[in-house]
Amino acid sequence: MARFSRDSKNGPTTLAANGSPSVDTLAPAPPPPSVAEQNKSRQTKESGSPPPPADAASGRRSGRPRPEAIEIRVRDVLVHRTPPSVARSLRYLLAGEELPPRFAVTSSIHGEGSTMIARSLASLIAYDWRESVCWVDLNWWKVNPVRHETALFDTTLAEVVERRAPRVALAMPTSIPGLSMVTAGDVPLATRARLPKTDELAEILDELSRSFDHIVLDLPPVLASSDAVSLSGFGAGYFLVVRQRTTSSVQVRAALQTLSAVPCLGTILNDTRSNVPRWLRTSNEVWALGT
Amino acid sequence: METARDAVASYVSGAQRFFARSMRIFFGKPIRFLLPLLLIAGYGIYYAASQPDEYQSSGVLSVSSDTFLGSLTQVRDTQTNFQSVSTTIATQFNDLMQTDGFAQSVAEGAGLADPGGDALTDLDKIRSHVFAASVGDSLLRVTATSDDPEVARLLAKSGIASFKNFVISSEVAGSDVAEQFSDDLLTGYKKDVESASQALQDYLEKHPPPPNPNVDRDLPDQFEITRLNDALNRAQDRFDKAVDDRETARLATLQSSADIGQRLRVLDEPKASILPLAGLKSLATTVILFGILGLIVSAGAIALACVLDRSIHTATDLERIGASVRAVVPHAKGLKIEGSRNTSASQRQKVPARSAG
Repeated sequence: MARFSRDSKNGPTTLAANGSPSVDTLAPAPPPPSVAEQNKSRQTKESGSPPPPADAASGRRSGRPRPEAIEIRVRDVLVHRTPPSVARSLRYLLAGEELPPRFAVTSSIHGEGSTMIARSLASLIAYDWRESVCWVDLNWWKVNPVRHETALFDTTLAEVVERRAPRVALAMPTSIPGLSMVTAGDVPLATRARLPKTDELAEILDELSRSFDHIVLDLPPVLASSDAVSLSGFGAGYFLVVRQRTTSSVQVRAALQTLSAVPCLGTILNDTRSNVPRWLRTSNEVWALGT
Repeated sequence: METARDAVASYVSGAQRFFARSMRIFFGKPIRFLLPLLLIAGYGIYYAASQPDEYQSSGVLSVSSDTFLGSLTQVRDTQTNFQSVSTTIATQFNDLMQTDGFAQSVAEGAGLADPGGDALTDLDKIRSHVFAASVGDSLLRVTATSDDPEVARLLAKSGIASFKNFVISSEVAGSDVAEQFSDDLLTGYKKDVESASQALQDYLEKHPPPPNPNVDRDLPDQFEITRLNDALNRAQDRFDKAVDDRETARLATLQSSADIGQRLRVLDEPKASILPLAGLKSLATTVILFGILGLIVSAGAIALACVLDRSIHTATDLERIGASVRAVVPHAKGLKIEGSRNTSASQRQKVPARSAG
C-alpha cells in the first residue's frame, strides 16, 4: 500500500508514491528553502518581524510594485486566489501564536467563506512559513460543489474512504511548494452521516498528519450538518469563520456551544467592509480595514 | 461610587456602540434610509408649490369696556385680571366663529353662502380663514385669508359687521323685549278703543236724541252715554300710553345701536391685498417642516434597523458573545475565479494523472 512520506530535501512535502518532486514541477513559485532557511523564516515570524515580501500594504505608498495575490493552481488551473488584503489580515493570525498541527476551519451557516479562509490559511502557511501543509476538504455538504474543480483531482477523499481508490493519489500538489489539497468528492446523502465515524477516514488523516506539518480541515457548517461536530474531533481545534452582516450573534453562539467539546482557536470575521467615513470609524474598523 | 462610575461607563459605551452600529447600518445602504427623507421632503416641496397664493385682509376696530362690552369684561376687569378688553373680545370673536349661526352670517355677509354646496365644509373653511386677534389693549384686528384678495376683504368686512350686529342685538335685547311687549299691548288696546267706540256709537244709534233740541235725554241715557264715553277715554289713554312706551323702547334701541357703533369703531376698513401672503417664507417653512419630519422618520428607521439587526458587524460584536477574534478579513475583490475554472469534466481525461509516471 502506498503511503505518505516526508522529503525534506526536495521540498516541504512530496508524495513518495512515485518518488518525483511533483510539487516543484508544478510550482512556478521560488525554489524551496533549506531547513535552515525554514528555521530562519519561523524565527522571523515568531519575533514579529515584518512578513515576507509578498506582504504589504506598504508597497502601494512607497511606489514599489503592488503585492500580487497568492494563487493556488492545480494542474495549471487556478482553484484559489488569496488577495493581498486577505493575506495581510490572516498573517496577523499566523503571527499571533503557534498553530496546532491539525486544525479545522468551519462556520455557522453556509456562505460564510470558510473554504476561502481555510485555503488562504493553508497557502499562507506554505508560502510564508515554508512548511508543508495539506488542505483537506471534509465538506460533503457544499451547496454548490465545484465539480470541474473535483475533476482536477485524481482521487477524492470519498473514493478513498469507500476504498474505491488508492490513497496514494489522494493529496494533490499545487503550484505553491509544500501545499497539497485533498478534495472531498461526492458522497450520497445516505452515507454521509457514516463517513465521519469510519476508521478509514481517521487513518487517512493520521497518515496525512505524518506526511505534512499542518493539516487544515475544511468542515461543513456547524448549524447545517451534524457532521461538523463529528469531524471537528479530528482537529486539535477549530477556527470559526463569521461573515459580516450575514451571521447573527445567535447563530455564532449556537455554533460555539455545539462545538464546545473542541477547543476553539478563535473566530475570523470575514468579508468585512465599511462605508462609514474614515473620521467616524471605530478603532477595530481602523485595524481591520487598515485605514 | 465605583459602581456608579461603572454604570455610567457602561451606558456611555453602550450608546457609543449603538451610534457606531447605526452609522454602519446607515452607510451600508444609505439610499434605503434616505428614501423616506427624500420622499417626505419632496412631497413637502410639491405641497408647498401646489398651494395657491394666500391673500390676507384685515380690519382694525377700537374696542372699549363700556355698556355691553363693559358687562362682558366687568367681572374680569379687576386687579386679578390680566386680560385686556381687546383680548377678551378677540376670544369671544373666535369662539363665535365656531358656531354655525355666526359663521353662516359671516358667509352670507360676504356673499359666499352657497345653498347647493356642502354647508358644513364651507363653514369649516370660513372658520379657518377668519379670526380675530388683539392689538394692544384696545384694538382688535379681524383678519381673513383667501386665495382671492377680494373675497378676503369681504370676509373681513363681513366678520366685523356680523360681530357688531351680534353685540348690538345682545345689548338692545331688553329694549327689544319692551318694544315687542308694547306692540302686543297696542294690538289689544286698539281693539279696546275700537270696541268702546263701537259700543258708544251703537248705543247712540239705538237711542237717538229727542226730537226737540230743548229737551234733554233721559237720565238713564245720559248715565249710559257718560259711562260709554269714559270707557272709550280710558281705552284711548291706555292705547296712547302704550304707543309712548313703544316709542321709548324704540328710541332706546336706536340709542344703544348708536352707542355700540361708537364703542366698536372701525378704525381701518379691510382692504384687498395686492401681494400674496409671505410666499417664499411660507414655502421655505413648509419644506423645512417636511424635511424635519423626513429626518425623524429616517432616524427612526435607522434606529429600528439597528435594534432589529442581530447580525455580526464588528469584532466587538463577536467579543461581546464571548468569541475570541483572531482575524478580521476585509472584503476583497478578485476572490471570484472566472475563466480559469473552465475546466470541464472531460479535462480529467486530458490532464495526465499525477501518478501516471
